[in-house]
Amino acid sequence: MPDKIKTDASLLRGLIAGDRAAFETVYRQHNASMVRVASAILRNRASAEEITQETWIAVLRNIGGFEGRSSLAGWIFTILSNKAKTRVKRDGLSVSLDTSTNDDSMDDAFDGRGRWRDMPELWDEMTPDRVVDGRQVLAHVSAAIDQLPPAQRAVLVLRGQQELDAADVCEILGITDSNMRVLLHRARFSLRQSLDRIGR
Amino acid sequence: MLNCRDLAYQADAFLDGELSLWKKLQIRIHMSMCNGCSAFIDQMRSTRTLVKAEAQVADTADTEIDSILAVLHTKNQPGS
Repeated sequence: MPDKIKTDASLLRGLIAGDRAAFETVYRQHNASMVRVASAILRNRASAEEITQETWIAVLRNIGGFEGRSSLAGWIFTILSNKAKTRVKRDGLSVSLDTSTNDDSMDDAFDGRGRWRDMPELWDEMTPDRVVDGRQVLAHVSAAIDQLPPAQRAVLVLRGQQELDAADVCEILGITDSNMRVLLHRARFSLRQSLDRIGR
Repeated sequence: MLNCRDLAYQADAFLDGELSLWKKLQIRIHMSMCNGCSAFIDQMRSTRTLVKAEAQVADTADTEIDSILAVLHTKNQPGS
């Protein structure tokens, strides 16, 4: 049995039993990502935090009904996404996740013959602990993630950080697989550009 | 012949091991001749690692956890 599934099963038993330590583990694993995904859908940090808290309460109240058809994280993010979308409708918000992929920022990196305009160079050692301009590299990464367009940010968090199955990410965000891949690649490419400015 | 832009667009699929043997070979041949693309793939690999690491450092106060458990407890009280 893969470690991830074993961990899920163990946490699940703890959550059902009302074990605070199990809840704390799951909370620390997902809460910040949940706020980011909800913010991407709602475009409002305060509402995102509120929806995230409501999601945790729903998770704890309904954990006995979790059937394991997706991962525990997939189930939690599905609840979050449904609550956020309901809030968008309830409040008559005109915002929605703009998943268009008509963005040519990647193409700008190349000339007409498909060659790099600015040839990439190997970064000096880029470890999480490295300090650049008084900040750790991870602080730069955090800031860069928060500056991504909402749809790219949501996909990056769900797929690149939470490592949900591609199918679950598409279901949660209501996007196609090809759309998700393009958004994820653009997000990673943007972050690479941002890190490149401090990495040489 | 694969150019740098083609390679950049396939970098994620390459790192995820999702490309066919032929496409992987094309990328490896291009990388062997192009220091820029070789550095780019290395940068994308580092970027992915750093993005994952960033998710592990979220600061969470115990009070946040307590407040959720308190709300849940209140909602479970008879008559609430």
